[in-house]
Amino acid sequence: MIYIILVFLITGIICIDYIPRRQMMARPLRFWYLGVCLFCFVVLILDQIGVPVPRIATVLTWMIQKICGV
Amino acid sequence: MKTIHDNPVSSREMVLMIILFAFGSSVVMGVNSHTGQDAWICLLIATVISIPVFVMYARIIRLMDGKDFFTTILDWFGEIPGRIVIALLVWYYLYLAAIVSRNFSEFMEIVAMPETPQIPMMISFLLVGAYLCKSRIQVMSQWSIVGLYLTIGIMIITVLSTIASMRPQNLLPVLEHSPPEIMRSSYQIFVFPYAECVVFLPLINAVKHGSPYKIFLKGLFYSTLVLLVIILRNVLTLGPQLMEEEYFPSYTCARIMEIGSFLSRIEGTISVNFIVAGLTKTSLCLYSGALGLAKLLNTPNKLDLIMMPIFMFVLMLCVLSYTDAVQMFDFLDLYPLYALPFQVIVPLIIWLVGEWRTRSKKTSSVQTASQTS
Amino acid sequence: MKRCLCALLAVCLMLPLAGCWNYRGLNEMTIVAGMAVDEADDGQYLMTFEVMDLTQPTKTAGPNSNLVFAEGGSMLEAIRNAKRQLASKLYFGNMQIMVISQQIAEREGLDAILDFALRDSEMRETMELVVSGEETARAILNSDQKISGAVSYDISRIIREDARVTGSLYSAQFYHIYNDFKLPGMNVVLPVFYLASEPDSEKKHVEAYGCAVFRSSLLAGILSSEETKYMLMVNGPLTGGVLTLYEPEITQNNISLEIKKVESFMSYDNNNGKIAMKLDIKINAYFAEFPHDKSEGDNPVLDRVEKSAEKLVQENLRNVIKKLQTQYQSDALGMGSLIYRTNLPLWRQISGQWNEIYQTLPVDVTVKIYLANTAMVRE
Repeated sequence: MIYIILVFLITGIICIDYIPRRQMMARPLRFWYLGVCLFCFVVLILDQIGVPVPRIATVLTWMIQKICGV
Repeated sequence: MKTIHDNPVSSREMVLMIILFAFGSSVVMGVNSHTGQDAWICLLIATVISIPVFVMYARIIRLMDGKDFFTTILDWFGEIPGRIVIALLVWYYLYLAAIVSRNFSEFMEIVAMPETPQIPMMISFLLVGAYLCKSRIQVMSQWSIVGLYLTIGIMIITVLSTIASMRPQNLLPVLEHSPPEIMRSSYQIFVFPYAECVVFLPLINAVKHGSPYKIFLKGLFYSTLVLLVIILRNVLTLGPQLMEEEYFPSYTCARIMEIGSFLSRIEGTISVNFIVAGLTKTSLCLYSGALGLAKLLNTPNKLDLIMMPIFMFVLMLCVLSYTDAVQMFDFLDLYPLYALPFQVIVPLIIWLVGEWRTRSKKTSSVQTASQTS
Repeated sequence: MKRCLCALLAVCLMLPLAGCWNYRGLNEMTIVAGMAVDEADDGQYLMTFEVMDLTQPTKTAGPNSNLVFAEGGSMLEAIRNAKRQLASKLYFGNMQIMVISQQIAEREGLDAILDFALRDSEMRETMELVVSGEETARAILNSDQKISGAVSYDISRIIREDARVTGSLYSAQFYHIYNDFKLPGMNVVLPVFYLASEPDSEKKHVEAYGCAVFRSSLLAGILSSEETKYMLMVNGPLTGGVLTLYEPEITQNNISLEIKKVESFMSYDNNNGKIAMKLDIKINAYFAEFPHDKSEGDNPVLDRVEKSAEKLVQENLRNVIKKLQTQYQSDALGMGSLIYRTNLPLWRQISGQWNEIYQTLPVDVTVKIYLANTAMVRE
C-alpha cells in the first residue's frame, strides 16, 4: 500500500511539477532536481522493503558520544 | 538593496510568526517536564538566557543593513567558506523541519490513529508546508495571523475550562529541584524552542521598516507569556507527578476538561492547535532552508523550481530521523548538544566576521574619503 | 484545472477525516460502561466488563447492559481474550468506573492498575476507581437496579453528586489518584460500594459504603460512611451532608443540621523535631430538623445546639484520626504532604521516619459551627 502511495507521489511530482517547467530550468538544475527526487524515492522504497538504513538520530547520537565522550 | 522577498511583511506579522513558531512543537512535546512544578521557573530563566542570543541575532541583521542574508554571508566569508556556512545552516533548517513533522506524525499515531502508517501523514503535512513555502512569505505571514489567533483562542478556552479542576497546591513545594537540575532544564528550554529562532535570520529582512531588536525581543516576550500560561495550566490541572510521566501533557489536560456537564471530550480541538502551530514551524524551516539552497544553487529568485526536491529530501529525512517514538523522546536529551553549534556557534562566528568586515569597510571608506578630499 | 485539483483535494481529505486506517463503525464496537478486576482461582486476572446492549431498541425498553467475563495473565491480555467471545472489539472511550476487589487491593496494590489505565490512550483519565465491599468486584456490576441503563453509570453519578448531598464518598478520578499516589506524605483513599439488600425483597442494589484507605499501594482498611464524612471535612470538597445530634436536654428527638460550607485549615508546629498538627474546622450549617417544645422560653437554644454539634464533630474526628494513625497507619489526610509542600528542608529530614512519627503524632482538633438559618420555620 505504501509503495503505491510513494509511486503516486513521485509520478505526481514529475508530471505536475517537473515536466511543465522543464524549459525554465538550466541543465544542471534539471539534473539536480531529478537526481534528488529519485534518490529520495529510492531510499524511501528501500526503507519500506526492510533494508536496514541507518537512522539519523542513531548516527548523531554516536557522533555526539564520540566527540563529547558522554 | 536586492532582497529575495518580493513583498514586504509588517513587523507585527513577523512577531506573530515568531510566537507561533515558538509555540510550535513545544505544545506537543510539553515544555520540558523533568522539573515538575518548577518548570515555570526554568522557563523564565531560559528567557533570560535567550535575551543576549536574540540580541546577537538582531545585531547580525542590523549589520547586514537590509541586504539579503545569504548574499551577505558570501560577501563576508568569501566563496568557499561562505558556501560551507550556508550549507551548515541549510542542513540545520531542513533537518529541523523533518524532526518537527516526525513529532507530529508520532503524536497522531500514539494518540489518535495507531493503525495508520506514518508516511501518508508525513506526506500530507509536508506537502501543505511546501505549498505554503511556494506561496512565499507574504502568504505565510497572513496565514500566521489567522493561525495565532485561532491557537490563542483555543488555548484560552482550555484554560477557562480547566480552572475548576485546578489545584494551587500543585505548585508547591517551590524550588524542590537542585540548581544543577534547574539550570539543565532551563538550558534545554532555551535550545528548544527559543534558540530555534535562528531560523528567522534569513527571513527578518522581509520586514522593510522595523527594528530587528524590537521584533526578536517582542517575539521572545510574548512567546514566554504563552508558554508560561501553558505550563501553569498543565501543572495546576494535572499535578507535577502526572505531568512528568505523560508524553503529551497538554493533550491529557484537554482530555480532562469539561465545560458544565454537556461539553467534554473535546481534545480533538487541541489537535487543531498542534497542527496549526507545527505546520507554521515546518513551513518556516522549509522556507529558510529553501532560500539557502537557492543561493547555493544560484537560483535565488526561482524558489518554486526547487521546492519539490526539497520536499522529497525532507520527507526522506523525516522517515529516516528516528526508529521509533522512544528514540524520539530520548534524543531530546542529546538535542542541546547537537543544536548548540547551529544555534549559537555559527551565528557567533557570523556576527564576529560581520563586525570585523563592517569595521574594515568603514575605515577603508574613511581612508578613501580623506584621500580624495 | 483549479477546480479539478480542488475536487481531488476534497476527496483526499475525506479519507483521514473518517479515521483513515483506524476507521471503526459503531456496529463494530462493544461499548464498555464499567470494568471489574478480580483474581481468578488460578492466580490470573478475571475481568468483568459491563457492556451496553445495543441489540434491543432503546426507545421502548431503554438502554440496558450485559456482563462479559474474560481471563488473562495481565490486564491487557484479559481484554484481548475477551475478543474470543465477542463479535466486536471492546471500546473503552466511554468507560466510567473501574472496580477492584479487596483481594487485589490487599495483595497486589494499585501499581499495575494505575500504570495500565494511564498508558492506554483509549481509557479516560477522568474514570473513577472504586473498591468493592463485597467478596468479588464483579458482584457490584450484578446489581438489579440500573437507572441510567448501566450500573457503572449509576455509580459514577452517585460519586459525582455525593459531595453536595450526602458527603460520604471520596471521588477518585484516575489522574487525581495518580498524583496522590506519587505525592510524598499522602495516601490514596478510594470510594467503596457494596450490594445492599432491600427489606422484604430478594433484590439488591448498589450503594456507597464509605472509603477504603491505602498504605502506599496496598489496602489498609475500610472506613464507614460516617467516618468518611468527618474525613471529608478535612480534605474533601464537602458542600452537603447531614449532622445528627441527640441532645436530651433540649429535645427527645434527634436534631439534624444540614452542612452548607466547610473550611478547614491544617497547620503544624515544630518544636525541636517534635511535630504537632493542628486542625481548624469551620462549618456553616442550617437547621434541617428540630422538633422541640417551644415553651422553653427564651433560653439560648441555638448556642447550645452549636456547642453540642461542635463537640460531636470534634470527638468523631479525633476518633477517625486515631483510627487512621494506629489501626491503619495511613496518612490519608495528607499531613505529611503539608510539611512536604510548605517546608521542604524539614520534610527531607523526617521523610524516612514519617511512618513512625505519624502513628504517634498529636493532632489538636478545634471545630467551630455557625448556624446560619433555620429554614422555613422559626426557631
